[in-house]
Amino acid sequence: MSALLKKSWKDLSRRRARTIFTIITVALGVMGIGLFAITPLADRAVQAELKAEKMHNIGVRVTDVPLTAKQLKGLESLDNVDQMSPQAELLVTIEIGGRRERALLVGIPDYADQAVDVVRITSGEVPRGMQVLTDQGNAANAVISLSAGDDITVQGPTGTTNRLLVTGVGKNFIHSGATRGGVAVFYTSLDAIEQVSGRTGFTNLNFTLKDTDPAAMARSVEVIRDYLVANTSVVAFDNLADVRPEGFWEGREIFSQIMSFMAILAFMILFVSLFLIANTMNTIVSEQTREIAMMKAIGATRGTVFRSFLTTSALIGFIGAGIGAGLGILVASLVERTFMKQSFGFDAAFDVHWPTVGISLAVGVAVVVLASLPALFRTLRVSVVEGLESHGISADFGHTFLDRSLMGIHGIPRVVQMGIRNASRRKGRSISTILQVAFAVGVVITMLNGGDGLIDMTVRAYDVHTWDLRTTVADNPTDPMSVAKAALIEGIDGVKSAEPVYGSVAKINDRTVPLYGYVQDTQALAFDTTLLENGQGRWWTPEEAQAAKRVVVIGDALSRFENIGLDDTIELMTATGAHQFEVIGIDTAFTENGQFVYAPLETVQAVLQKGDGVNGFFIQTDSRDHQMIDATSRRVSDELEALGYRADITVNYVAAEQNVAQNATIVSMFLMVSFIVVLIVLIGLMSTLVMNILDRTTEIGMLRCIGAQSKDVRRVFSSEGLFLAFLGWMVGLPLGYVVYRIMVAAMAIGMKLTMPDKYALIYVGWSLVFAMVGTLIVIFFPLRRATNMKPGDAIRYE
Amino acid sequence: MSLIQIRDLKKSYKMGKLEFEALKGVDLDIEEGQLVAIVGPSGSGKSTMLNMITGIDRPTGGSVTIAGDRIDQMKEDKLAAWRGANVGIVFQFFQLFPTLTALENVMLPMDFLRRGSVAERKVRARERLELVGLGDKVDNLPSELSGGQQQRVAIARALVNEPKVLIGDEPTGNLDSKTEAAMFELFDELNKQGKTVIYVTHSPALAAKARHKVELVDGQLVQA
Repeated sequence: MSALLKKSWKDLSRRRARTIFTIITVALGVMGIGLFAITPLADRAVQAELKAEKMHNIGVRVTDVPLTAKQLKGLESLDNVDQMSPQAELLVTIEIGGRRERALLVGIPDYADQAVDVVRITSGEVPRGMQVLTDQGNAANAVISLSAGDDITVQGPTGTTNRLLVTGVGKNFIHSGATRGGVAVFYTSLDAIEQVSGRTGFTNLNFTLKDTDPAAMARSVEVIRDYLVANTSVVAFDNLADVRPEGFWEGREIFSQIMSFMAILAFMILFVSLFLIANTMNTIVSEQTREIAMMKAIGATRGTVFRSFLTTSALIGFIGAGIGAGLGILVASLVERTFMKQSFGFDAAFDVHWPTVGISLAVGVAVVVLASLPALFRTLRVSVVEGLESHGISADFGHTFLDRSLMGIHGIPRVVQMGIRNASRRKGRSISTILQVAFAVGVVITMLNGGDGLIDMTVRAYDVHTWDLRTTVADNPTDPMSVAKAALIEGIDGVKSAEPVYGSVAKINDRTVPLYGYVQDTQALAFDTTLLENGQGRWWTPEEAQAAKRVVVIGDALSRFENIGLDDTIELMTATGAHQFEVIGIDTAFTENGQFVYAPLETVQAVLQKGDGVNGFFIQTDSRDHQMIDATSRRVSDELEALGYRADITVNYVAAEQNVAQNATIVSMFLMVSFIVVLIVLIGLMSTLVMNILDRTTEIGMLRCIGAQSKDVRRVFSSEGLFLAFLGWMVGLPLGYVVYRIMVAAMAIGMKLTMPDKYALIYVGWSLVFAMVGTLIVIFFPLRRATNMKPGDAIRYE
Repeated sequence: MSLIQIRDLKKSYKMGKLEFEALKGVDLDIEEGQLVAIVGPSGSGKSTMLNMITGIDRPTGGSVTIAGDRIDQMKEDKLAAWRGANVGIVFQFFQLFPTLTALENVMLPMDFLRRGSVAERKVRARERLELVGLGDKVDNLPSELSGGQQQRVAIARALVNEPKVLIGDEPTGNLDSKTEAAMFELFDELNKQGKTVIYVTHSPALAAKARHKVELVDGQLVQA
């Protein structure tokens, strides 16, 4: 090792505390860059799951279609079909804690031979006969916690009850999703499905394709439909085929948007850290003015000195960036794995996104080297004589307007006065600290208000519902459910009114949206507040409904996403093919995130070739009391099942609570990132105070020499810290408002949703408490160091 | 009993693997009202001796008793308060607080001891500054004062709590000869008023002016 390199290395260990805190500052700044890895990591984790389960490219839902081996073979050998697996889904009810809850049974023909949408067994045995696997999401989402050896009692559509034995735990990316909506999911044999339902056949046909080009996939949907209509009892798909491009997963877009927003915040933190890093490097270089002069006096050229100090900076940068990149790997993985667990219910493997690590290292080193250049150039220009006479950084104060203003503050204890004035001595460092605190306050206020806003939006989405129960009813082939049967439901005890609806899905361009057929003057939606007051256009007329006119009212977000205006004609791809509709209204309800299509019931029935058929009812109950609603729900379910209709009942208040709980996941991620930002800032604040204490070690010694006790020294530095934190908080308040507006704008651009205006005063108060308490906590150790110093050692400190 | 009684005073420092003995069992008595110069070559233990007398450093062995108080046994905070009340220190590099005006610098030791009201402290600090000839510089910051003026503020600060002992660690080491002479006159005047004055110096002229001389060589007393 050359003498110069050795000097560079030893320069770091001479001022150990300062070096450590500079490295920590760099490390935390660089760690922020690691958040950029969250989205690619999440994507990779989900892709690994999709690959392991051989996720379908096309999923088709049909009503209990018995398929012969020959027909299955026929489907498999259709043009472009790579592999095909059928599954049989059955909605049942089970007793959970005395309540009757919905549950989904998924029948798999052969667990050892699953080509598409594989159900994986995580523990236990393959279920045979009247046995089931419990989905791992059942326990994870607190739906029902079961283990091998337990049994469940299920009630099928015919009202008969069966006991099924749990043999283990299974998982499937698509089906596990239902557990987040509170539906218990079980995997079983086809025998059990037959036994419970009294029917045979499959409901889900899942295909992987050879060519996954969008046009090829669209063609394959047609080919599959044609084959089923020609060769089986299928008349039409129950719903639009689920077409998944390669690598697609639900929520990817929103997740990516949220993470990009977070990563931008993290990047801004790095930017704010730059001031602190630059200031620290300035201190380190300026302190060595005399040494630089000495090196020059014994023959070192400016180039040699430059290289020596640049090496010191690069070493700090490299160590800091290395630690930061390591922390970034851990934090990114933690956030990503938490999200995967909470949102998709699986444990993602620990993974590293190396491109982000590389960028983190490069940026970290570059930032430190660049930050030290101005001070280094300045010091190099100092003459040898001036340098040799230098005593490090001068303790100049009193020449600026700010200094004079602070000197005007009277009526406070002298030590507090000293602390406040000291804040103005290292202006760059103080400004950096103020900005960091301001940023943390801004982020915290934004995140708390943002979380509130999201919850608020969810609540408002459900507030427009005037129904208490919504039942979807599967077709009974012998006696289809129709508008006229509403009277049957209205006759059930506790039901005030029942309004028929036909719900389906449609595609507009590549966007899948729910399509609802409503009766004229529907009572199910408080559309008068969202369409008539805030929206545009009108509801359809009785004449239009009667004539099954192709008119629709669409959601505000959908209109903005697809650039659809009033009176435009849109093409909707439905289960029966493409159809043209005229847009007569744009509704501002938050339902379905503002992406929905409403049409007259008669229109939807005509388009989907359902005659007078409906597949659901919106039900208002006599009482809004939750227990009464639950009781009515059970009676409706019993009555419909007694009539031979498989009913799936959504209770509005429960759905609202579940949706709020789901949004709480996003809110908890907001809080997690806020916590990281706050942590970075608090350590930055600690770093600033440690630097200040180191800079003023001699002064601390002097204070002790003239009679200052520990508490006096403590008050000087805690006043300075609290003063900086308070200024940071003040700056953070408007910043919080601006960042929240950016978030609102991002939501408007990214999701076309208008978040409510929020700036809760309670959070302003809380952020002040957090800033002050956080400051007092982080300055504890630096202060202890300051007060434990012996005056003699402190006076001698150079 | 002497004002300052030093018995078998030892102090050693660890410097890496080596141990350096700065004081090797010094005995010394200084009476109230004396004007004492501590002299000796570099590394002889002069400043260490002063640090022991002011209590800003702890001895490795022996005792330091000042006005009946064993300061080597006092706890740090009690010692700080004792120092503030009994000892005034003047350093070579003045050590004024750059964010405080001359008046505020002088008031600070009284603030720490909570002596009198703020108004009373102000009056007294102003008197001390007038005593050292800086009555017109009370609102100036240290950066607005010359080296000699800064040292006068430091002396005013050292005197403000009426300490029994005034101690100077190379107090004129950073001043020109004219200012050095003026500074000694001030020390001499204070001593004539009854104050015990002890200072460390490298200056032969300043050492010669002291009425008592203590010489240290290699951590041992050779003349007292």
